[in-house]
Amino acid sequence: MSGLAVHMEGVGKDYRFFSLRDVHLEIPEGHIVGFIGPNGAGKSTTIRILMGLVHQDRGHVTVLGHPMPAEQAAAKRDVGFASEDMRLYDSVTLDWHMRFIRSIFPTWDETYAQTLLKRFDLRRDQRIKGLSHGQRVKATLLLVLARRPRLLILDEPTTGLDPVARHEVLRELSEVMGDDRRSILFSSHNTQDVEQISDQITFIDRGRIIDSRDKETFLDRWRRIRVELPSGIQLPSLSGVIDVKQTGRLAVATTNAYDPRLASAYESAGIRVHNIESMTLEEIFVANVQHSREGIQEGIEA
Amino acid sequence: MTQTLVWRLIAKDVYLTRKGLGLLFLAGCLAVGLLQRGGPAGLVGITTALIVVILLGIVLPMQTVVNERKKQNLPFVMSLPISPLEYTAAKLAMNLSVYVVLWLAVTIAVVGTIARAGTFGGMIPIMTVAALVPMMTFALLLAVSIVMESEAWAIGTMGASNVSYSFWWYFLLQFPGVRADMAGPVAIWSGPIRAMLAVESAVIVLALGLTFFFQSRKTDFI
Repeated sequence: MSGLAVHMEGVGKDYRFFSLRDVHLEIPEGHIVGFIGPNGAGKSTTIRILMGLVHQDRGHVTVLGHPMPAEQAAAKRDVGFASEDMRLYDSVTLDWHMRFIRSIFPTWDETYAQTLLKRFDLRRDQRIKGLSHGQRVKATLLLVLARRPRLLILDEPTTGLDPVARHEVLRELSEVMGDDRRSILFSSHNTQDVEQISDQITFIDRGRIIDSRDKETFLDRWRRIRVELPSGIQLPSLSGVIDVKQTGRLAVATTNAYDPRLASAYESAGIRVHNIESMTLEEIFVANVQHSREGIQEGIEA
Repeated sequence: MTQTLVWRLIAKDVYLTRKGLGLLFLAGCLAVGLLQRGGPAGLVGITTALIVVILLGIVLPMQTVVNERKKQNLPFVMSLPISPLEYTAAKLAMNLSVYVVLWLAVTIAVVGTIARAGTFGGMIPIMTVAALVPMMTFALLLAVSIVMESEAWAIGTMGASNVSYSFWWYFLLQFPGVRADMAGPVAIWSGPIRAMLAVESAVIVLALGLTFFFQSRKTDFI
């Protein structure tokens, strides 16, 4: 298990109206994993299981070598956790929070905390009550980052931030990764944020991990091929093409296993290839979710 | 580290509730001061003392447990290197220690004042039973707040507990001899009084014990 910050195997959790099913997830040390899914997909449940706040019904979870939830207190010494629904205490100042966290974590880096105060434009003597949403998020991240944790688990940390605040937060997270022993799990439904900083992407939908690989592989393998069909010719079914949308003689084929031979195969069949387009992570995510849902639906109908 | 952290969580809760606790402490001092004067002021003192311990029993669980969840501070606390059972221990220890200190001070002052007066010795047993009622309702509210994780349940328990005060008095005074013993100059620890004290103590111990039992079986903490 050495070299893995997080290891989840066959993890499941059942609620009345939602189930997390057979989750396998590995985060190697020194990697930033973007965890993308629509609302209600199971991102927060997965993260809460990793933090020991929700106990899995099935499967095994290890965080920094500690089995969860049994050794959650030991694991959390080296885990920095921030989530969208986490709030600091309104009635006290950021300085009080900093002293509180410093008294608990011997790894607290006061110099780095001062740097973050300046970078995030925060005042330590200001009460949390008086901070804007963006300032609160940055204050929470300051408390998490200045502990210098080995693993950062961030559940939708950029939700609701203005573009400047988002940029500041993402830049800081990228800088954190200067230390190659540190790892980040970054959940979001904003694919732009994830694409900017992650080197591995995991998609989750309806409680299942539907795809997981490194970012470059995703971007390399997914393509949209725009073709024009001469009359009387039908688009052949090719391996690796997961979706075809046709309007008259124009068609768009989406592939998750792009190979230049796909275009050649179409051309050999007399089909004119107009364009081969790269896809953004958001387009890949949407296509992936639709493909997964159609597959599940076909399975049900069969 | 964990033990240290439990102490830090206790200190944190004391700090965050210091204003409310300070006000209640001052009200408690005022109640004891009035009690010492005796007469009508003494009666006001007893009433104030009862209000102070009832309020304290509400303020503590509501501020340290219910509000922490309601205001979404709980994920922050649970991100610290602590297990849910250690969190429970910290909450119980903080609430109990703060409550017991003020409750004991007020109770000793009330019962001591009555005992020193000499002629109202018969009131001491029933005052002791009465003093344990707020302690019992506090333990119930604390247990429900931690275990049920619901403001509605906490408010319901609070309402039911406060309504139950009058029922306790009514129930206790139905026992033969209790009224007569109250009027006497000497404290008589009769069977009904001892039974009531036993029931109250059992409810307190059970509420706190069951809190740990249910918390240890929970699989979802947020």
